[in-house]
Amino acid sequence: MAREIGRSKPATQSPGAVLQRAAAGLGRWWYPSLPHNRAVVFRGIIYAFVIVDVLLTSFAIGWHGELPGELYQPLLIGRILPLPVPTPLLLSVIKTALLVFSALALVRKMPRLTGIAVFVLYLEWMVVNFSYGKVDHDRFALLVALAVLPTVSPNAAQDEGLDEAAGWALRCVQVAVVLTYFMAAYAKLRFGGIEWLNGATLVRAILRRGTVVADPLIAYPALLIGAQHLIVAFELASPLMLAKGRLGRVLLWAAFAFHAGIYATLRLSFIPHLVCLLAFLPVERVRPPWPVTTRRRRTGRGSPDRYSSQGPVCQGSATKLSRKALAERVSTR
Amino acid sequence: MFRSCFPGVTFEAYRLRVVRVPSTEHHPQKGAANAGAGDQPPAPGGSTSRAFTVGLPTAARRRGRLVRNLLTALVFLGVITSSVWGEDDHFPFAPFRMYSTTTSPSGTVTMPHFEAVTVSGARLELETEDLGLRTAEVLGLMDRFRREPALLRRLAQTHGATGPARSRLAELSLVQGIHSLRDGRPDGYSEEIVSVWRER
Repeated sequence: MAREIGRSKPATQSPGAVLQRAAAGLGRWWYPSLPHNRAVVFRGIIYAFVIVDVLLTSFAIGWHGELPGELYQPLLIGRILPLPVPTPLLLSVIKTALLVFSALALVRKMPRLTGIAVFVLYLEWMVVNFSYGKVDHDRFALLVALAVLPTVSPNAAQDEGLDEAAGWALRCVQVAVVLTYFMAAYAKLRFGGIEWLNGATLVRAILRRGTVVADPLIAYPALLIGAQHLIVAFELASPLMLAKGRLGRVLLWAAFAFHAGIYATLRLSFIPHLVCLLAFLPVERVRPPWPVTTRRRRTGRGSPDRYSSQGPVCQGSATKLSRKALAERVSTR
Repeated sequence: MFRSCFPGVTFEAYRLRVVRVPSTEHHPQKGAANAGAGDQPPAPGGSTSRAFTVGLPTAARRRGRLVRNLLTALVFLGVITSSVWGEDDHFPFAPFRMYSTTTSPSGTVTMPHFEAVTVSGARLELETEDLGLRTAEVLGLMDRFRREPALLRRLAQTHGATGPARSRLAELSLVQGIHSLRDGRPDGYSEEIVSVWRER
């Protein structure tokens, strides 16, 4: 076996050099060069979801405006700022503003400004939601996403390139997702103790909100205790979602499967969190089906890579072409 | 004309989307996630686009990183600190404590609901959502309802205006259903009236 001869590496490195290398490695990890498109598509998904969330999944927050003001127990942030007691008018204003700014952010109209507005308004929407005796943790990753997405460059000319800033934004969402799981396991040990594992927490959950799938399971406490062990094991293993390769992918799909199981048994959707799980996926490869698929089907080219072998269909000032002209150009290829 | 967040797609002229995927010699078939700085696709017009941060002046790049590093450290520290010592009150840096408490296999599981009597004498059984509160919120406010029955009067007034029955209530009770457990299985059910309000 050939060995390099000559100047050999020092056997030990100075602590300073080791620290420097560690810091550089950490920097590369926090700022991965990811496709800018990925952050742009993810941003679109998040703002589209905020619209859906305000109208459908969290519309019940609007009920709080009708409640007596005495039931409002402002959180620390609400007392410090101080935020007003929710009224029907206030919540209607917040809701409308959220819809307007999310729509503007979705169409990339002043994305930094509108993105910041969406973050502030959504935070207030959540403060209202959680100021009546119950705080949930399923929206932490979404709040992080809304906080970091305005930092993604709005310049569309960069869409096709790699971008460390976009990589940082996506990495933050990924870490927030992992923290949600990992710190949930810690909270179980902190508030429930080690006995949580062998307790009847899932029995309690099924009695309160079990579905037809879950109700029969209540007769098998050993099975539910096994499920509790699995839940904590998964939550403790969640940092492996950040690992490259098969291990990370397995954990990611395990997360989707975990939430599917939770929804089937307890009707807990965790949908804001699920949307943030998309930060782990190359979402830029999923093209919007309505315009692109139609044209590709017509031209018989299914994938971007096959498309690429034909070269660009149109470039530069193509947006000025009419649909008919474009169709003609495509058909001649 | 608005661009959407989906790259290259516009709302007005979406069919004119520019397909800027490069030719194979520039862009070997390789996952975008694995692409390095050297195999970026060329920008529209043919020139190779560079990474955003690479194109920035070093000072601006360093400043951007410094701000991002500080924000990252601050949020990370906030989450860890709050998870170890914090409470729900510290939201958005609250502990991640949904379903974190333990129910003993020989303990009890409580489930609240409301019972009401309208001024016309009709008896109603109301879900917590009928009065604009989630079940978990009623559980969180249980001690307050126990201490301050007047809160039920205010809820009854709200219900009279907007509730499903849309009728004025003369009486409203908060009732707690109690499932007893034995060896982790339900073993009996009873009810406790937590708080009552009656119109005088």
